[in-house]
Amino acid sequence: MVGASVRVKGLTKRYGDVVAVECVSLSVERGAFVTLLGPSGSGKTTTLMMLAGFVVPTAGEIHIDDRLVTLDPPYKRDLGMVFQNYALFPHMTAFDNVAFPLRMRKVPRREIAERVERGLELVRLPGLGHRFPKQLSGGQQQRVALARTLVFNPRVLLMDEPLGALDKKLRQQMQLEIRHLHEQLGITVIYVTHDQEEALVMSDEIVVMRNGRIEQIGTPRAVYDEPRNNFVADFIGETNVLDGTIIKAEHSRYRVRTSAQVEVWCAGEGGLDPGRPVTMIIRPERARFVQSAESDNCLPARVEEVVFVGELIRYLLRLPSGEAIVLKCPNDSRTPDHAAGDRVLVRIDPEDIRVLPPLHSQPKEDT
Amino acid sequence: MRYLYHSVCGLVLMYLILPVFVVIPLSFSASPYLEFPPRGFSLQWYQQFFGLRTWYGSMIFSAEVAFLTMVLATILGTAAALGLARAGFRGAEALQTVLIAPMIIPHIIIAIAIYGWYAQLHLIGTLWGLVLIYSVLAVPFVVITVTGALQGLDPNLEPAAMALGANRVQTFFRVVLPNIRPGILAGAILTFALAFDEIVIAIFISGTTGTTLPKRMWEGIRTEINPTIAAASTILITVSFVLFALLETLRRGLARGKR
Amino acid sequence: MPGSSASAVTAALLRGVERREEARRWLLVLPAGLFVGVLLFFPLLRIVSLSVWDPIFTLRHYGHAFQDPVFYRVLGVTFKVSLLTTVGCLVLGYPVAHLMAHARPAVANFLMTLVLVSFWTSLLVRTYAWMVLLGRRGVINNLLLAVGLISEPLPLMYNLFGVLVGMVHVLLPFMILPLYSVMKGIDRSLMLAAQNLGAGPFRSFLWVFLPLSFPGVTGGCLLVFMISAGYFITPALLGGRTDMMMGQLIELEVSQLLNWGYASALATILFVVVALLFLAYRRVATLRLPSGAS
Repeated sequence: MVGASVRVKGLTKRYGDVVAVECVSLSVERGAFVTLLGPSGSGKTTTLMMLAGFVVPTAGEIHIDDRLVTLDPPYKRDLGMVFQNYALFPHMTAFDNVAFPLRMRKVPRREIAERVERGLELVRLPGLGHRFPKQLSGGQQQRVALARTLVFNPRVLLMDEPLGALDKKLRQQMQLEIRHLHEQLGITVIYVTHDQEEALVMSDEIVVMRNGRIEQIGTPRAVYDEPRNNFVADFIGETNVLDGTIIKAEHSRYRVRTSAQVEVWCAGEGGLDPGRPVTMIIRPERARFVQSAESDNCLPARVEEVVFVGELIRYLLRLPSGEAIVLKCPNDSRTPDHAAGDRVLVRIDPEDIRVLPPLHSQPKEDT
Repeated sequence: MRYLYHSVCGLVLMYLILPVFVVIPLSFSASPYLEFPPRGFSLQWYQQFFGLRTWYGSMIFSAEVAFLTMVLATILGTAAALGLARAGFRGAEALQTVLIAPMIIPHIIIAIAIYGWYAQLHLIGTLWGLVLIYSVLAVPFVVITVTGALQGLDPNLEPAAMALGANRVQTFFRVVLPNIRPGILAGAILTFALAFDEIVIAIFISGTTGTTLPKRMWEGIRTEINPTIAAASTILITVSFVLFALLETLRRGLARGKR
Repeated sequence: MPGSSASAVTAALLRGVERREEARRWLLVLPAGLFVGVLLFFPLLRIVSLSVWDPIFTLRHYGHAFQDPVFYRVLGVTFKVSLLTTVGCLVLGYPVAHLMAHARPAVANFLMTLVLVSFWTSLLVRTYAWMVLLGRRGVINNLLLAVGLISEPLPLMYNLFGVLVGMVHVLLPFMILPLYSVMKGIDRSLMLAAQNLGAGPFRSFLWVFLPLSFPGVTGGCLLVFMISAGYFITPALLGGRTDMMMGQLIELEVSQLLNWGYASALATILFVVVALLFLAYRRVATLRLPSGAS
């Protein structure tokens, strides 16, 4: 049976009157890759620091492998942690860095040498053990940091924006490498990042946080395709937001009138009554140009700006209501060649328009 | 214009540095009184210095005082800096002000305050009397250099060590200490220099028994006009230079290590 | 499942963990804090109390000070010497700091070493060197006599001139170092921008560099003034009888006249002045260790 590796209940951290994390509850399956995603100040790092034992929570409980660890000091939790700037000990060689946790655990010397070598091979750095951190490149330092945390077989691997300091190309390469390591070792990973793309690429499950609270938990697909609110929709991927009013409700289908007085079919969770103002969210890549009003769900618009991005073309359109909408079309022969000023028709499938209660009925960010 | 600017700077630097080098040739003078340029070369003033217990004894005494001050102030200051490093706890700022105070209060005030009190405690002219008050003066220097070193330290190193299983003591000795050692050494050197050179407080509390080298010179300047004082000065200058060179080596090594 | 009482217990335990962490830090700072507190603040408080208890509460020592013409003269000299020293240090230190901030690293390093060598040399040694240089039969007078520029030794020492020469020399590093650290932080492209916008080298200095260096100027000036006000050794050795400064008066009252009450009152007044200057200094600069190490 696969049980919960990490269970968190009602975890809260307040600094005076400032709430950093508010009542976060979470259960992480053994062997899962879970990402805490959110903008800065969302409480994701504080949550991770509480898991690791560096921040003492104000309230709440943390269980690791069904053992209560809330009051344990960091060095008794047996968790591996990778820091944003790697935190390699500058006065020790790569070998000594990797050997450090083993020495702290009084592992016999012969075994240490063996395990360190294996650890360095695991991250594809064999033979570089004699180098000091400053003699290694950023990517290499990152690998040493990984080897250092993996070498003592921690119960959970915590990672705090570990790729933040790398350039884009290296970051993408390391993302895949970390994924592979995760698959290979079957270790539970809790990963913190503010980069939604990274979260989508790497995770089994994403926990979206804002203002110290969890906004949504779900698979990458679920949080992308079925965001529970505007914030999630906007934070993960690019989103168009339009206003409208429900005129007809049919189990999970709604007929909505947009501010431009066009009626469209939309998808959404049940429970919204006709007459209710709503917001509609549309992913830019899910809308496409059509020649004529061949079917339902078309919006007339005018092209305002065309940006060539390479693999795709980005159109900024203006609806008659004055609302703006962005379209991303693949750069292929089927995409018509529109220029600024052209009048166009845009079609969106009903299941690609998600209806949500309007912005103002959702918790707002403090200003 | 540019020429003028450079010559002004040159003159100012001469003004800054020249007096230091006037004293050195004087100490090798063969003449019985202060004459410049000195007539002839002799080591007679050094012979005088090392021949008189009042002179060389005071130098040894100063070295003892400086060494003990260094040990005491470095331990106290390093601990304080470590405690203050992760600031933000109640009273941290007040404590910081207390620890900086000895740097800004005029020494003449400290001197008479300590003088009156030490007289009651019979600490005038004692080794420990000097060591204690010099340590008070020196602690801020150690706090500042060690704090500087701690600020240069990656704040994640300690958490990393703990996450890897090191307890607090292990974390300090295996991770923190090796990385702040240059800061601690710099503080120790400053402390030694301060205690070796201090004069204002010494005038009051270094009595007839425990006379430091600067105090002995102070007495000498007012009574003797022979160049023994120049010899004593040269010795003080040499000690300062050695300490300064140590500090610079340390700093350069540190700068290289960071690259 | 733990009920609410159990979670209250957890919360209390968590607070305990936090408190222990705080206590640990306190324990590290406490020895130094107590040490300085007892050895410095106790005697200082004793001085303050001596100034007002003699043997019962009295303000007569302060009254004495504020009625005594000697006190006013000493205060005047202290102020005058401190001010002139500050101006002297600024005038001599500014160009040097400027040069250091703009020179090639090797040159800047060399200049810094010169400043620090002077700074590190014992104050007593440097003051003694000035006695050798400025004396009646000192180096400078001998030189001038030999050249024939003067026929009689000039009075270079035991007067205001001697004090100022010595004080400016001793305190110059305290001006140069803060100036340098501020100037070093001024973005050089700002000067280039000013010149690109049509200001000549002199005007770009006047309108851009000079105002930006003001924090260093105020910091350095306050620091030098503050140290000057409490100075003792240099004026005692290079000054004349009429140029007595506050520190010398205090010393005189204590060691020659054994007038502890009055000396304590004077020390308290001096302390208040310096403390006020320090508060002003804190507003413009953070206290840095004047050495190459920081």
